[in-house]
Amino acid sequence: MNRIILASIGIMAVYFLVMGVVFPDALSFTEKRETAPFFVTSQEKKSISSNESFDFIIDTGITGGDSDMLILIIGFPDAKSFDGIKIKSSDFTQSPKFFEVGDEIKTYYPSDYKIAEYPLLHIFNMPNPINKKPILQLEITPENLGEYRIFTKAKSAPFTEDSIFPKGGNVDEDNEFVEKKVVIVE
Amino acid sequence: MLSDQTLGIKQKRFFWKIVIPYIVLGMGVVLVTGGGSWDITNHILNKPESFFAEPHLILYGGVAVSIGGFIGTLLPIQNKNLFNLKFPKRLSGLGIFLLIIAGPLDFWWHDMYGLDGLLSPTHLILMAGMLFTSIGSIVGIIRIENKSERKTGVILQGLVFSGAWFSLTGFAHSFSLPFSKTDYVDFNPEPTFAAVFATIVYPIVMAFILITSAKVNSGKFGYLSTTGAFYILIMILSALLPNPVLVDTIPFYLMNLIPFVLADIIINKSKIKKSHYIAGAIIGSSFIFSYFPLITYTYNEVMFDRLVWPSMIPLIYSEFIVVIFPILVACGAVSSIIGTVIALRASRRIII
Repeated sequence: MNRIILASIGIMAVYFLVMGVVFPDALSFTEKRETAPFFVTSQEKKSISSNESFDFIIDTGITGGDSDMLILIIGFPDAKSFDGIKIKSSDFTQSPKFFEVGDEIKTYYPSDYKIAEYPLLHIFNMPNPINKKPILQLEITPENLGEYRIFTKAKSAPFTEDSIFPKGGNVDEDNEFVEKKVVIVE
Repeated sequence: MLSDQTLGIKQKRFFWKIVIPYIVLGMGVVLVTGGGSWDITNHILNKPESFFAEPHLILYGGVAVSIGGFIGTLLPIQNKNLFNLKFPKRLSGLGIFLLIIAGPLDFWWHDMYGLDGLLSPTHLILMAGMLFTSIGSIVGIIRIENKSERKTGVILQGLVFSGAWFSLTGFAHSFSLPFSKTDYVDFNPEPTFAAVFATIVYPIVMAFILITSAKVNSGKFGYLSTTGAFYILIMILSALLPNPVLVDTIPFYLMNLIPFVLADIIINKSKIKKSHYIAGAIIGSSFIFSYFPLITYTYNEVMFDRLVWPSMIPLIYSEFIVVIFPILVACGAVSSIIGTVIALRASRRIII
């Protein structure tokens, strides 16, 4: 057999060994990112008068390393639409997604909550380095008198058991914990 | 003696005057495809999109460069008709036309359907424009070289061929990567179809481009290797370096040069019959490694169906490659026969 062919067979065998076995083996040591999101919400008032607005601020971030995504999911069960909800300022880089009542909810995370029963805001960073701590400031003007609830939760990707916050509290339509904040409209 | 020298200089000047527009045409496509590849990486990394993002600027710059090259091919030069350039000029003209109309059409598509995925009618127009322009450029350069005593050299030809390679790869990506689902349309290929398509088409594309680059420069070592080297370089710059988790894979990725150099040696240094088919099989068998990292998405869909976050690419690739690489190596080698047959036929037509 031609010497070049013989040498080629040998070289290709080594090439396949390196690329098909050694390379994936080296890749398998890549550290899986295990991050956990957190947030702190603050509202300037506990109760407001009818037609009055209040600011709702969410300071968020992640622990454990850089994350492929940090997403805040904010639900407004007592609102009929986003008419009274305005983003006053945001450090999030991606365009937010507003799901009105009846909209199909298209998520970047596994979810069984398919049709929005109340206005839902998804706002996110892809990626979110560990040192990035985005702040979201909403200006909310409730339409009706009584209780005005805000449900907030955060997720970070890749998704693990730890990559969701809060770890307790009320449960939403996805059967996941949310932080519930209430403002009384008098 | 002096008159011979003067004649030589005149011939040299004439050669470059006529060949440069075709080189510029091809360079433009290299910029367009390189920018496009970087843009895909940015989409994977979910970097915020804007009209003036760096990859977009390179892409638009590439279109402008190609237009400049095409204008150059239209300039009146004496004895130009000797080179039989009607076909490459028409083909690149069609390519440039498609590149130009792709921009406003894509803008309209965005306006109608929001952010688009990889596979969209306007992207197909852009890819067809890139392909026609790069093929026009290659045919023009080869025909001019064959009627002259001069050569553009391995570097320039390697670059131009790599542009054609990326253009064809763009089509193959469109029908095999799950990047085409948006809020409005779902053009994602069915996962099994995508995996089968990738297994057949990527080796064909590789063998077609690389065997053609060797065949049209028959007996000259280096053209195939340089084309492969530019492909690897552009992939490193546009797909690996921008993604921090893939930077460590670059030394391994560089090893993909091995099958290209071997194929080049077999074609040009061995005296084996059917050397092009053996070389094609070597090239095709390496497709699963040459098309890293994007190929991860195609085979993940059919094997695991996991959500592939950018940081997860190395882990997911490492999980499936060990299992399926022997099969894919064999499939790649077989599929490459088609690419080699097309390359040999096309080469005969390029060289008239």
